[in-house]
Amino acid sequence: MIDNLLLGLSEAGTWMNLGFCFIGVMLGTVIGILPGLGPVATMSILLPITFGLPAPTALIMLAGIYYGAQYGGSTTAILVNLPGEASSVITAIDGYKMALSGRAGAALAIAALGSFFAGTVSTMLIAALGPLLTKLAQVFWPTEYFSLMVLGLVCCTILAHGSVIKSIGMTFLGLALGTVGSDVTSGYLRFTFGFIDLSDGLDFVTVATGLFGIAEILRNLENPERRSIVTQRISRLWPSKTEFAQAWPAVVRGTAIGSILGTLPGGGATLSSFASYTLEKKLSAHPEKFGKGAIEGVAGPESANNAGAQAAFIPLLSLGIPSNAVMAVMIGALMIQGIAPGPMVMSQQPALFWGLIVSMWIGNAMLLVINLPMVGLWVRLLKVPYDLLYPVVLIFCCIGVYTISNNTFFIIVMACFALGGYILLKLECELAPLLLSFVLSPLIEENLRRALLLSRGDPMTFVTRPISLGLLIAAVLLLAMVCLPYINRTREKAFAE
Amino acid sequence: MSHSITRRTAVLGAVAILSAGLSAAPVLAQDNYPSKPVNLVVPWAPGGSADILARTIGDPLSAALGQPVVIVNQPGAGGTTGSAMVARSAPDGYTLLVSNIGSQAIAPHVYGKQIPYDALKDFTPIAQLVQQPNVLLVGNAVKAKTVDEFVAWMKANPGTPYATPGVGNSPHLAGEYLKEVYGIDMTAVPYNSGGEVNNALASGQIEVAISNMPEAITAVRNGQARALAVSSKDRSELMPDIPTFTELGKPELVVISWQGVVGPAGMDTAIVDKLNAAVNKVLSDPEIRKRLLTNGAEPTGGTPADSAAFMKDQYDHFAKLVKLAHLEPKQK
Repeated sequence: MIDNLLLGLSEAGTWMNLGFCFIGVMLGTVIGILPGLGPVATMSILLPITFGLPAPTALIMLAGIYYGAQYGGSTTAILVNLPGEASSVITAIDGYKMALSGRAGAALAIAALGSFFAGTVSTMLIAALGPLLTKLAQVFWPTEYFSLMVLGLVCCTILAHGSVIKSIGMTFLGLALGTVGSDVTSGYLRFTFGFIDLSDGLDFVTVATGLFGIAEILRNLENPERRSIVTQRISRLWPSKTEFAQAWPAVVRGTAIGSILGTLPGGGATLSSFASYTLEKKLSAHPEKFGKGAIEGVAGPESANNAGAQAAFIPLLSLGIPSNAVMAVMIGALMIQGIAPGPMVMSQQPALFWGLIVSMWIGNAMLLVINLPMVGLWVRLLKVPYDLLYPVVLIFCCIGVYTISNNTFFIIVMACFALGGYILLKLECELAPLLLSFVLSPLIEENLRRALLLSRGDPMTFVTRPISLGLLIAAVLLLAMVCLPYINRTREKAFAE
Repeated sequence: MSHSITRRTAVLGAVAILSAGLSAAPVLAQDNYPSKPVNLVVPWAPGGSADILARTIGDPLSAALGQPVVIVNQPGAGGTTGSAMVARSAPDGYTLLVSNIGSQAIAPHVYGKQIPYDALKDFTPIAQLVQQPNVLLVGNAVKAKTVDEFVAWMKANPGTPYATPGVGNSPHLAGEYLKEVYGIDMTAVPYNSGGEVNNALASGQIEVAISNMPEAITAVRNGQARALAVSSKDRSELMPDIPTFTELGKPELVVISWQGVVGPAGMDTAIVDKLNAAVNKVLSDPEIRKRLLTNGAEPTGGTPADSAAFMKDQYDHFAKLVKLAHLEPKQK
């Protein structure tokens, strides 16, 4: 373990690699903060440049853009309720509420510190258990993935702090939206309404920007007194002692969750942030504070997300399975360098593997140094009059959605979702469960159908395989925990009448 | 062959002279082509195999043409958005497309009228670039060592699942055709990528797979699976020990992936020839060949006429295969 880390340190610690790591995280932070502009476009523009660089340097820079952007994405999620990725949807729930009540500085600082802690621990964990964790992917068959995703889906409904019925409804709406596009096993087009542009399905950024960002702008514009995002005075830039005390156990648990789930190829990392949120809400003595600015709701998921993103490089490098579009570009960068991702990368290219892992830790330290002094600046951004701020945000949203596939069609799709999001806000339906089940939907469907094809149509496969059974039991228990108080309450009401 | 090209040149030349007379600018565009950067459209997202191919040949192609070649990613709708964009562009040689089996030969049959271009009539073929054979893979625990043993095993176990890296792509259609040709029954299980197929084979959740060369060669090199046969006409340089289905007495079983360069319909022959020469020069460079082969792609090249004949043949071939796999459009 120590040897591996030293090897990684010697690779990542060269001046050139440190420099490119810095360029990467800087670029990533900037594009992450510009709402809508994603890391995929940036990385693909820079891909040709990596031709001339050695493989580790190229990957270190690209990885820097990736987690730098995730970091920047959390900033916009907290400040203007604009999640750039599935993971920051969670951050937006409580982070934005914290910003509204004048605690943006605390939210940003705890997100940065939590991420750094998670990055440090997961680097150690990968170094210690990396080769072993690769085996985990072999144990997880489509059957286990399906059950894991079902558990994730139950977590979705817990995210809500209002009506359980509404949040279940939102979860199913999200599932339906996730089925738009080509059917996974037959190739038939579903719910595309004759638009061939929809055949690849709906893009996350398009949906999230419309539902969250623009719908929020609409709502803010509607009541003039809310024109300034922050109505209360910004009290402090740094979290208080009480806030630290509340946050740190969440950070530790989030790190653990992220490190484990991240190593599952294809979607594991996506689950980590909201698994952490669910856990924190369940463990908290004050679950009613979640959704209204609970610091644990920012600290846990942000740590889980960062640990998960880092751990996701294990399946990427060792199995060649990308967990998202960004990782797919990484595979492209590897292939251009003549390195085929596979089980041999860790043993044949140890300098590349460990250099990349250690560079992520260095990059996280750089992010901390870059961003902590910036917290004050970002918070001051909230004092910009809303009439000036929202047109800028709108323009960046449009640019960001356009650059996903250079197609104006998706700007119209985004506008439709903005309208839909506004209506749902008016109906007091929460959007987080919708967005997360939208992300899980294709994964659930694919794995369900794959598992059934492999078992030749026998549904018993989900209960005869022990890991799958365990996950399903956990899902049922969790669902019961959510629904029981609700049933009790209605019964109490019934008795009272 | 050359006769017809000369005649086409003559006709086009006459048209060009006519239009030059009308426009009062006597300099013919093809003489100083290319005088500005050439856009090469990749109809897929960055990082995919077509993108890597374009970026591998992009720089040497710039050198051969004396103008920068700019790679433009236009993903969407299974490669058809970018292809449609090129079909609509001016045929002046400054907008070219990395043509590929998906948007040129498969999607038109799967999506029918929803595709906003005619895969044959709306493009000018310039040159084929590379091809990737499909490979029949079996997990390490499988006893079958030859295709004959494999077929016998399948006949004894009808309905055995086999992995493909997706639905409606070349490996999937190769698998469906394999079933037809050998009269065996297997169930296709689509995964999202060749990397997932390799992992599925290695973990033992599935025992059979049809995968494309770039990922298949990785699986074989890493000991995740064994190759039984390749689906190209001739043996692959990348797997010289593995027989083709043609050698095994099934010459009809040739299903590969490919990429080439095309422009919009109606390009000037002189520009096409210039581009074709540049592409062939790039593909003959040993360094470029080596890089393409490392990524599992075999350089092809050839004349514009070769490319035209090949794409027509592929278009008709896949019309049949799409029907066989029941992927033809359900809606009008």
